[in-house]
Amino acid sequence: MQSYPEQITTLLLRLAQDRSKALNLELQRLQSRQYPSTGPHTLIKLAVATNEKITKDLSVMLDQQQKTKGIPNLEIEIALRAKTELLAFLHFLMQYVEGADIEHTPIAFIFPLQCLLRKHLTSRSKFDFIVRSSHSYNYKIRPMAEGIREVFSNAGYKRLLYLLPNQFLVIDYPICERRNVLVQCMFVHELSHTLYYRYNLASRLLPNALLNEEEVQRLIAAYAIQRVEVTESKTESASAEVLPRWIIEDRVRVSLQTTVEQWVEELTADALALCLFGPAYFFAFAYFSGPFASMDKPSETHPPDKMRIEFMFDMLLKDRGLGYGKVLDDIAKTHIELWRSYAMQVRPAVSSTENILFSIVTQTIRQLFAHIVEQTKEVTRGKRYSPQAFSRDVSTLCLNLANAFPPNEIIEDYKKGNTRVMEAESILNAGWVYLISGYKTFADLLGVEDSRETINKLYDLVAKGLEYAEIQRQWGMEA
Amino acid sequence: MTVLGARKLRQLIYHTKDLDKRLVVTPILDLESQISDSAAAIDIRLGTKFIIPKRADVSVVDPGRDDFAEQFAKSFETVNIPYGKALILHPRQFVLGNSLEYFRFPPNLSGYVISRSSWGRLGLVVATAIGIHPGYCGVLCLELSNLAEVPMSLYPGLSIAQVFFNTVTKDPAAKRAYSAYLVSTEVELPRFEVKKEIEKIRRLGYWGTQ
Repeated sequence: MQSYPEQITTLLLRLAQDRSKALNLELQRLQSRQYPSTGPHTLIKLAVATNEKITKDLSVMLDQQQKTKGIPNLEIEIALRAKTELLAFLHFLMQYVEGADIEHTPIAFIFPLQCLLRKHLTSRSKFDFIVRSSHSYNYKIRPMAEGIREVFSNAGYKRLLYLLPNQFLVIDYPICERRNVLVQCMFVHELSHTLYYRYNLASRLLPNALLNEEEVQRLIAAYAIQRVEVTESKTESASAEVLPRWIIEDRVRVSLQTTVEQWVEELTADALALCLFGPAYFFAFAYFSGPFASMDKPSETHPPDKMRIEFMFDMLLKDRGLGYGKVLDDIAKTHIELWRSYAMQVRPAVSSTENILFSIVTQTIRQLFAHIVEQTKEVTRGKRYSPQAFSRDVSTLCLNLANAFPPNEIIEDYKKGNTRVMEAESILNAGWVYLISGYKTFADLLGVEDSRETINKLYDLVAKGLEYAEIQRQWGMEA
Repeated sequence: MTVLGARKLRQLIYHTKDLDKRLVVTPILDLESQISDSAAAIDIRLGTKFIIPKRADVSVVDPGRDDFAEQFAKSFETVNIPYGKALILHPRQFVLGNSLEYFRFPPNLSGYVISRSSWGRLGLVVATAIGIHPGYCGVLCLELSNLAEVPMSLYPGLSIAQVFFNTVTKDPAAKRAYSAYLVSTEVELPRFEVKKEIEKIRRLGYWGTQ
């Protein structure tokens, strides 16, 4: 009969095997679903292979345990923990597959997103991604590869990492917007954060971010007074210490620097998104962010939305920007100007040290607008969506929509009957421009009273346009 | 009634600038085979979405009942079959699919859908009753049935049926036809309002017994 500790070890190994079998069942369930992006299958395949290896390793350990009773328990326990922790991690990873199936994530935006990521993110390295809907009202891109690699390496399963591409992204979007293909332009902002690091834009932009020293001193003084006030008002507070000025200064400078860095990154991601998608990104941003929270309110990580709108307005329409002023029709331009006039109505902020800090950052950032435009134009040269492409395609594609057929191609030469398949950027811009300027005509055409149904039909047409254009491109490539 | 030939169809699709007269069929992935010179029809491909009947907790699907739409929806399920995969259609099974192509008919054309003969010989019946009215725009709903004795695989993207086009005597006062399925980008469950009509018919029955 086995001794007590050996019995426990055997029991633990058997329990780990049970966990592994349970995970296997879950993986089978997930495997049987259909996913429009390829990422879920990649992740499930990795999990299945790892789980199989763990099951095998556990059997070997169990055999050894039964044969050689002399194995020190601690060694087994350490090896066992590494495996069970990896099992738990695999279980955790599978949350990223939920919401990525075809019922929750429409296929229409997958193809253009794939092209966009391939065009801007990868050189020769392997890459894959998951697009999934979630119940968080946010768009997010999460790079996963590095984290997964680290866990696998620590657990001693590095060999299986050949199944994981060099870059692996999980892209989240709000589930209730799954039919609204136009607002999915928000993805491009998230992608742009990745580009910000790829092009090392921080090092190009941040040296130009010069703080107003006088204002910084005023802020330090305000913090010092605030600290003293807090201390005096607390009778029994031992923790609210009066800090030396140099510590306060240090903290204020760190806080200012972090906020400037974050805001520059956000605005640069907006600028990159405009470079890659043109006005479609502006429209999506205003549509998505407009109704939420206060557009005046900044945070340490994000500038106020009004500032972002003001910046994007400058970039789209002003001289030395992207030059869309000449190609947008009057209705679309008026629409952008309307948002800008709203953005310029800045509500007076309550006087507080935090607001002094944001005001210093705002001053600094405003001086950077021109640099951001210049640098983003520089790094996206040759990859930008251009006002020329906008002017050439969008009005014709709006005609497609006005006549209730998808904007996937245009006939360029009626004599020869030549057609040209559209890029996703043109299709999305046409969708937005038509939504803003021609929606009423579309509603009349359909004769549907329910405005939601009309808008959904328009989204469906744009989505169909994206899908068809990609099918045509791939079919052409095969030929 | 004139059935349009390949040349005329190509002219209407690719060489007609006036949108009121243009026939829109998109995407045509392989022009030579889909509108071949000798044909008088356009071959259409199978789309990826299907509505499949299922055994459900529904006593009867009755268009005269208030909960018709709900009952009907319960008795079907929707599946997406990606390109490269196949839908298995069992003997005597009936499913709704749609064409990959999107159509927009000008006001002077109508059309009808029939199976391609090669598929018909395998036992597949496509589009049992599809007439397309002038002015219709959307994908075409395909009613698919397997009359053979063995299951068959249907691959989205394959040419499966053909549409013939006829000219229609133009009524100058006619507007674009309204259809409940206008601008459908995928197959939809039936939407018909027959309750009032059934009420009228019931009254006829009552009158007849007096």
